[in-house]
Amino acid sequence: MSEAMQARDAVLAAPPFALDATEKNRLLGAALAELTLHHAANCPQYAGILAAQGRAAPIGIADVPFLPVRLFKELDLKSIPADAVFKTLTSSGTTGQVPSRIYLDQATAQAQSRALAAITTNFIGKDRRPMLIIDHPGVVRDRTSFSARGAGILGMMTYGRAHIYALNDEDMGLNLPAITEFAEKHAGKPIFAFGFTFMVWKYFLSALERAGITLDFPGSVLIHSGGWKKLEDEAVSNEQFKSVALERAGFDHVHNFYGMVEQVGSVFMECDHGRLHAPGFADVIIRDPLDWQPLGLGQEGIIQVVSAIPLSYPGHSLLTEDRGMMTGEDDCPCGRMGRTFRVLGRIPAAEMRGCSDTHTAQAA
Amino acid sequence: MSIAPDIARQISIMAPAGGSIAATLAAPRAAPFAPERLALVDAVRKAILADPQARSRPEMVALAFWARAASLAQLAPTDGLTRAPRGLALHIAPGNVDTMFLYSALLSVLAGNVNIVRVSGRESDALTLLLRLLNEALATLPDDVRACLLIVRYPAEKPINDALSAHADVRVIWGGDDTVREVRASPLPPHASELTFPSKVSAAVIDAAAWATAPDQAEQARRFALDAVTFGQQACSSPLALFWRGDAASVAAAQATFWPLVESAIAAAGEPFAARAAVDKLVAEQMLAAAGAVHHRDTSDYRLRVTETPDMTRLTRLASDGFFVERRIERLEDLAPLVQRDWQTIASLGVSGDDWRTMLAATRPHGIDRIVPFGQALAFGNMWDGVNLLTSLTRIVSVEV
Repeated sequence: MSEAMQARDAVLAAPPFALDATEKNRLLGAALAELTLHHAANCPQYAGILAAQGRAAPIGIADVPFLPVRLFKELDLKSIPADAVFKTLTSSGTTGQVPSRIYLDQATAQAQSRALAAITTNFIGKDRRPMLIIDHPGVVRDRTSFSARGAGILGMMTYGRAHIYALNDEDMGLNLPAITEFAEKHAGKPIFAFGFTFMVWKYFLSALERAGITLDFPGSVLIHSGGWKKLEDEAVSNEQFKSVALERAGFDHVHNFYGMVEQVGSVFMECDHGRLHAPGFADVIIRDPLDWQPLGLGQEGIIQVVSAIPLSYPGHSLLTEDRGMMTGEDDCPCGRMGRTFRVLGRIPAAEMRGCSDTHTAQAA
Repeated sequence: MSIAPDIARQISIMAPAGGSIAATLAAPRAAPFAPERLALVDAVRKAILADPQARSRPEMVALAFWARAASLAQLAPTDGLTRAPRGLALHIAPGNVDTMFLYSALLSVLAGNVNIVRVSGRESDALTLLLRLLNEALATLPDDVRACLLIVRYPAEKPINDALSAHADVRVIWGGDDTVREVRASPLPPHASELTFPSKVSAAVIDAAAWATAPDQAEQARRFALDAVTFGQQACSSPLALFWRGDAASVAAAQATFWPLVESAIAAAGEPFAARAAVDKLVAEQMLAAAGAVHHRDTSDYRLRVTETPDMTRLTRLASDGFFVERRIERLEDLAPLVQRDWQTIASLGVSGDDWRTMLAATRPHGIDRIVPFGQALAFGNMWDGVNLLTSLTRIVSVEV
């Protein structure tokens, strides 16, 4: 990188949940302004998008122009030469959809892993615990083409040791011999479990219930992510999820997190008080879709996420496809500073009303 | 003639009550514009007008208006040729709530054909209403008359399309390119013909000087908004782009007065606002900006968004519910290189029919099926996508003795 990015360096170096609102708006705002200039200078499409908006350079967090995440499905957006691409991430996406393509260079990938480390250790502590990966080993086997799930698991594996996979490759059934051995070896000790929300519920917690098995890992932490949509379809609430996780596996700290492949390192972790937390180097803004103005506490709108991490592609300010609501700022009983929010689900699909291809569409 | 029982089981009869594939396959054809066929169309018209819910929907009112005896009489050919029905018409309706497919089905009823209409499996209030009204209308008619219009639903699967297509004398496919491709995989008998209505896009043209002196600007803007926002701007005929004819100064002046009036008209129309559509508009305008120099017009909110694209070369459906691209052209002829094969309707204001005819003759563009005044983009005509429907749904018997 040729440009100096002092504000970005500073906000990334700060402890993840220490900045109060004033300090954060100053520091993160300046970092995002640096990134806006950087991407405008290095990504011609991004420069075109800014030029057409004809807005002044951003001064605060909420002033930074945002790109809808779908743009990363429609366009190849990067701020680095092709030979600097270190890793390409793709979103899992819905069947039949074009996945997002996210291009990382070494610097962005490093910033991402440091950020993830800072957040994760804030929740599970610095000591590496025995780690139960609630998925099947096949999900990370092909390292040339990471799915978002595989990449997420590999990213999290760093924070545990003596890993085992809880599920079998063939049928996603419980790998009982491995789980039993793991349970005996680490009996009564706190472990770290990680998996994707739906996998954890369907193939682990529900399977334990059906099999009548109870595991005992007191003081353990379960971190999970991936969205509630499938569980909402099965009418499973976060509360129910947590209580089954406690009863069946003894996971007494269950942290869901919100994040997306399009903004690497933006991990919004749920604390023990059930609030999703923005770390210091990232933030959330809830916007009104009618005019895209920011909304206040308790008002429902569309979630925008910003992060100081993305250097290699213009993803430092993104409009998500999710609805959400701000629940507080610098006031969570858990003591972490920054904004907290709730995710309320996906933006509903549009009603098809045209002379459109619905004969085929509905066959799905 | 019959359908295999395992196929028939997968087909749900939506109207008339007590109808069946077998009864419809056996139903008598009629002479074009036979009294009993006119009676069927009239029964549909009366059912719409008698229903308060239907009367509150502009597209239903338009259908009832079209179905008046006086307007139908104008459709009857006056060339003295002897016409006969084709036989069994299989209609694949689009999945929207559009009343459009019903026009072609009713025209086919008037043509004397026997009809099987496949409607979408997608539930919607408007389709439920339409089916209820059709059932009410058909119930007032004798058994052998009502059997000539059978509305069905079935999964979009090839074996069922195969079975029904094998009986068809004419097949009418609405619903876009993919639907046409899919249904075409089912063979028709050698003698059968086919009408397809694939994906189309539409635009509007305004002469800037004519706009400046138009006495009814607010009304014209309201008609433009109506063309655009009815069916959420998703119909083939909904204008997606606006081309301004004139010099730079008069076009800029016209844009400055036109769009605020459209904005008020859209607000007054009171269509529900969808966050998804607002995101789509944001994606669309950013994609345009990423591809070339554009200007996003200032609007008060995301119910209306307009992007000026001086270099626009290809018109595609980028977003809906109030999203437009606009471009200036010096002369009408400058439109010709932009016209694609899939252009259907031009809603035109301030450009004379003679100007259009001159342009069409001089440049022979690949597309454009119809040119209509503002407010008429969605009005159904017997001529559609360049096809005379009534002629295509009948055959001519030459009597040369």
